[in-house]
Amino acid sequence: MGLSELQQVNAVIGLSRHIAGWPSTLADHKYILDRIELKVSIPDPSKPGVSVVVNPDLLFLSDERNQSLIVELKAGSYREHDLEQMEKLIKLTANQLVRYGRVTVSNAVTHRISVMLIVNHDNLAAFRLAVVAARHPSCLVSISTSIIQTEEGELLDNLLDREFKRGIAIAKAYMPSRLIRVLPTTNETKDLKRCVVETVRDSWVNNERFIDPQRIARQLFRNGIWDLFDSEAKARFLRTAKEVIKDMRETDFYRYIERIPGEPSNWRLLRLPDTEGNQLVKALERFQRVVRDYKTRLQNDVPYSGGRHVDQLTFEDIQ
Amino acid sequence: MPLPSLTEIKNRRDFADAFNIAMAGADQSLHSIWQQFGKDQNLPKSYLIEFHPKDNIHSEADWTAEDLFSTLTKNGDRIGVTVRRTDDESLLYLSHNERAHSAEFIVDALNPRFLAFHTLSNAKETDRFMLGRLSQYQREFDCFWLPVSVLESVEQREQVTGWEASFEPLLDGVQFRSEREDSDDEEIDSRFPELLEALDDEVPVSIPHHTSLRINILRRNAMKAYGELRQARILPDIPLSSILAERFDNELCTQARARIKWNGKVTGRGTDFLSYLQIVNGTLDNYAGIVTSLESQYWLGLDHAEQEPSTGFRLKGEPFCIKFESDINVESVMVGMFNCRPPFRLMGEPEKLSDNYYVVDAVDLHVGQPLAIEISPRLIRIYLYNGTCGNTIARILRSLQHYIDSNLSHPTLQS
Repeated sequence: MGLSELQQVNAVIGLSRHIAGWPSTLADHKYILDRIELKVSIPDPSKPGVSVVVNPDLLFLSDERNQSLIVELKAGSYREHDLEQMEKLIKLTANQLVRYGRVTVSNAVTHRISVMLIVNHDNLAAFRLAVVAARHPSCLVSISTSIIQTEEGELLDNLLDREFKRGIAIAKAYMPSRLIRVLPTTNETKDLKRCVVETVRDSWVNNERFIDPQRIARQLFRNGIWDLFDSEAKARFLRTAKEVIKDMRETDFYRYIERIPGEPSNWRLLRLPDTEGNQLVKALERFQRVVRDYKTRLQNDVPYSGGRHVDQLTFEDIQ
Repeated sequence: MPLPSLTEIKNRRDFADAFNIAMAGADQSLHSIWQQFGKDQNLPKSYLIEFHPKDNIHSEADWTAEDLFSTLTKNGDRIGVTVRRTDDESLLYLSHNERAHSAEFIVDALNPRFLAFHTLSNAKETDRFMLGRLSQYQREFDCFWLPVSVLESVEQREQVTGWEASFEPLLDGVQFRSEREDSDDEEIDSRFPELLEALDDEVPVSIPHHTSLRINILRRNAMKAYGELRQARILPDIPLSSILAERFDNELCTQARARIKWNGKVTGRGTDFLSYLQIVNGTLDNYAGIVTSLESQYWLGLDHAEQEPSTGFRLKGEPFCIKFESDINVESVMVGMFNCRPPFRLMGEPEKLSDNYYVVDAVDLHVGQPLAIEISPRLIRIYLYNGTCGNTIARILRSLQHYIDSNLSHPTLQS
């Protein structure tokens, strides 16, 4: 199985840092991560009066060498619009980065932008076929558990190009996995669900009596990050969080989570640590086992084997 | 001279006078009537404690001594504590009475996050309360966890005339003991005898099943001897666990000596309490600087660039990486680290990333904030998310040094 989007992001960002146990290829070439999920609105030369949004996953800058590296990550299999997205990225100029992306470069005139598309090695064949067939100028890089390597095309940064063509061996390295805990805009529900479970766990540990999707969101995406989500992303997350809490309540967590009649998106947390007196550690251990069981099932896509604790509708729900 | 009563203390002058009388008196008595003197009786002791109130993920600038007062008052009944204000708002009087146990403290909250609990009460009673009750099971409070390098750095502030190195394996043979179902007593975890002073007895009450190593050196220029032993690798697997520091006032011909332990307990002796206090406060300030510096350097989080979503996010912080000298038993260490118990105080569920490599999305039971830890046989990475207490890194680091691998390496800790 290939890497998830979150794993890819962490692996590539890790290359720009000096992290023990992981290569520092980008850092060695003086690249620093400048932006995640940058959105740049630029004029579309083919359509007068129309702007297009360019949205690279990662942007690295090497101020010292006056180079930048745009990285687009694809965890899934090839889709037709993937190359269209790359087309827009390749056309992005240094002036546009500075003017519309508010990126600071030392000299826009001589600044060079390399663009890289990273895909899972398992999905490489279809991407390669598309790139070769379209004679697309993308630099296609594959990532597996043993190597990160250029498969087609080249980077404008010659030094970096040589590194990636030679390949970055990672078979004996330990891939960093939590530099980014969860991506604000991810489509991968498994990561979101894991984070919801962990945030509910943290709420229980903190003796919070009530939980709801909004509260989970604000706790998980701190520092005002939640407020920056667009409405679609917010709705998607809240929907996922509600589903997860409901599922937790109906399965392993039925002793710890209780639905509040008449309030479809609010739950009460039970058996909180503060109520356990001198049996605190045992209570924590019991709860930890429940969390562990639930997360293991989630991770391995295993259905709940016990009887579901489905809540009956009450008078308050009907009102 | 009669022993001063701590209940009478109203301000810092009263505090210094009372402890000075007790300390000088104890020193004199120790010289003359040693046999009649209880262990550590009336010697000043200070427990350095980190305080992190609930529902507060911001900097220490956001909480005050009043938060400390209300937290102690709120939890008072549960742990047998009565707390009283003095005329000085940063100085509190605390009395602990629980069944047959009692102790009195003066709490210095001049830095409302990094506290010093000073006491003249019996050491067994004060250890029981501070190390067994307050800092282990009251989540707002945590010990100071002085890693080896921090103990070594005492030499830069004080004259070091002794040190002790000890190693207490957390592993029972190869495996951690599994989670215990049989014990009902959660007062003090007997798996961590180092948390108590019981082993200070000359004849131990019982012999542990595991090997316990301890080396104690007393001499002038003690750190020179320490350096030589380290260099010759005569101390291969024993971390520094306490330092004996001395301070003199040449004009007043007074002196104080303090034993600074890895868990933030300081015991004093000598004729001058203020000199002793300087040793204590030097340790406190140094550690406070290290913890806040860890937070500023290692707090990981996304920042929104330019206050608007279109310009994307920036990543700040980095993981704190610990390297082991030899392979650890990953699965066994994880059982010991994430069992909700002291010393690690972590809850978490391991997720396998590859062979012998795991990530654990954990919650620190001290402040209830998230962190992630990646574990492999030679490497641990700690991802301290924004708002999670920096003391957690110190606690994990010191515990790993103390119980797993004394020769591990880690980034420099700067104050």
